[in-house]
Amino acid sequence: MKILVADRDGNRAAALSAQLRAQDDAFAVIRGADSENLLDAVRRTSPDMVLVDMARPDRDGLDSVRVLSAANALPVVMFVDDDDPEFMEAAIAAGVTSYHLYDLALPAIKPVLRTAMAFFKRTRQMSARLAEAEEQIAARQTIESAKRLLMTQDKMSEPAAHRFLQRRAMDQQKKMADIAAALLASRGKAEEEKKNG
Amino acid sequence: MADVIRLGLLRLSDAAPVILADQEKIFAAHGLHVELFVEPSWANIADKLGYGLLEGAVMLPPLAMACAAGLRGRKTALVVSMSLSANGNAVTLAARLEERFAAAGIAGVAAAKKLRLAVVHGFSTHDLLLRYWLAANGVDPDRDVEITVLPPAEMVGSLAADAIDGFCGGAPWGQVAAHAGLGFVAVQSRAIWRDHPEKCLALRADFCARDPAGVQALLRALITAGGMCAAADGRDALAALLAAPNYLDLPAPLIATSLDPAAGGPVFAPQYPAPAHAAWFAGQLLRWRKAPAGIVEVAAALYRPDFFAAAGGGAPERRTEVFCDS
Repeated sequence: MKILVADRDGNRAAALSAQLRAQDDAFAVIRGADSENLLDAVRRTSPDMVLVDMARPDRDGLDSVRVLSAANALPVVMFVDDDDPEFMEAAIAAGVTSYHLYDLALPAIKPVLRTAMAFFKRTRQMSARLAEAEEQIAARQTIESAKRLLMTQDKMSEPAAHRFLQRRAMDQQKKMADIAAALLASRGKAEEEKKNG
Repeated sequence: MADVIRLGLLRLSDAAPVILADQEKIFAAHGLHVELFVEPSWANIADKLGYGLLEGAVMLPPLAMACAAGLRGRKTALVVSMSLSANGNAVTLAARLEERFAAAGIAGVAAAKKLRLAVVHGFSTHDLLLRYWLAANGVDPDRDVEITVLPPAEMVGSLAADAIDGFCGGAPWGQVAAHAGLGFVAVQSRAIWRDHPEKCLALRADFCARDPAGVQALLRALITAGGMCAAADGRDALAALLAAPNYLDLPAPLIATSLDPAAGGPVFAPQYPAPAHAAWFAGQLLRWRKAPAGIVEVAAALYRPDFFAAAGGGAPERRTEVFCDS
């Protein structure tokens, strides 16, 4: 089965192509040329299936494939629009392959769809995890700064400063990082006023 | 606060009424909370309407018909409640063809070489008007030329790269090509079908059923905005608004030129969704075998002038349609 991977993000296309090849020897994976128009790429390679990035402006060309010739009808798996996860989820929920898919045998599509979906799910999980880790680092830095402030300005010990922030967080039912940020903001402001006044 | 109404649009001059209504807070003045989504392709608009991620969109009537008939993607019940613009497209040919075109017309040009012409979508006003014009001049659009699909913003670059010989596109892309010296306007769409309907407002039928008052307010807001877009003294301000990077991202003076209805630009005044126009589009889709016979009924059910009337929109006087071969 010939699969055209039409993704303008070269790295992502390469990674997905590798995944598909590893999945099944029967998959012949073709990548569209960078500057090539999608409809031209489809005409040139006559694939059995297209995996297409939803954000491509030339995706409109695919709507014509069916118009051109019924024999050219091909399943299109739409994927990935990083800015628009809701769209991708809706596309998946709708069975994405519905597009141009008349009565084509579904079993041939399923493994490709599964691989593509697993790939993008993993990519998304990874970026979510990365964002989470970055958030945690930022939170820890804020807490450390607030503790240093309490230690220098209020002469608290490190454990006392930690307990101070912890107690406030519990009392106000907020995250410790939020309490720390608020403290830094208010003290920072007082500091500035002192300097200006 | 009312529920959010999500409207999709593309970066085109004739999306002006929706952009203006948003910018000038006309939607808000009608008690509406409208969010605009600028999409990269018609396919995105059609899919998002199908998945319920948009309540409505600035739409090509033939594409609305294709969606309602299930000819592309998921079959989606839609309502065309008003027309947003008329005219505004043009067939632009490569500069090197100008001499021959002047001497021998499109038939002469097409006889010398199998032309590769681009349209914005397979189900578009552009495609149907281009085909009508070619056929009226004795050129078979299926056999004598090749019609391909390109995004509007890529037409001019493709013309420069010799990847196409011409295109039928909306404002301001013909002006952009002419301005760059790459092409010339062979025919304006208004000369193919005088004052032809261009973009329409397509809404999901379930949204119309759920919130008829919201639909009425939406149409009232857009009738007001259309009137403002039609005012000649506001054209420069409108061009400046459309020129913004998040919309057309092109020089404002160029857009202002493209907005002149006297020069073939979009006309924002006639907004009645005429069933006769729906029938014309359906007939042309049949003519070029782009849709099965049922499309006539689908198109008739799709156009709902009753929504337009309920919002205070009037029916125009009966007009005689004028085509390039009539």
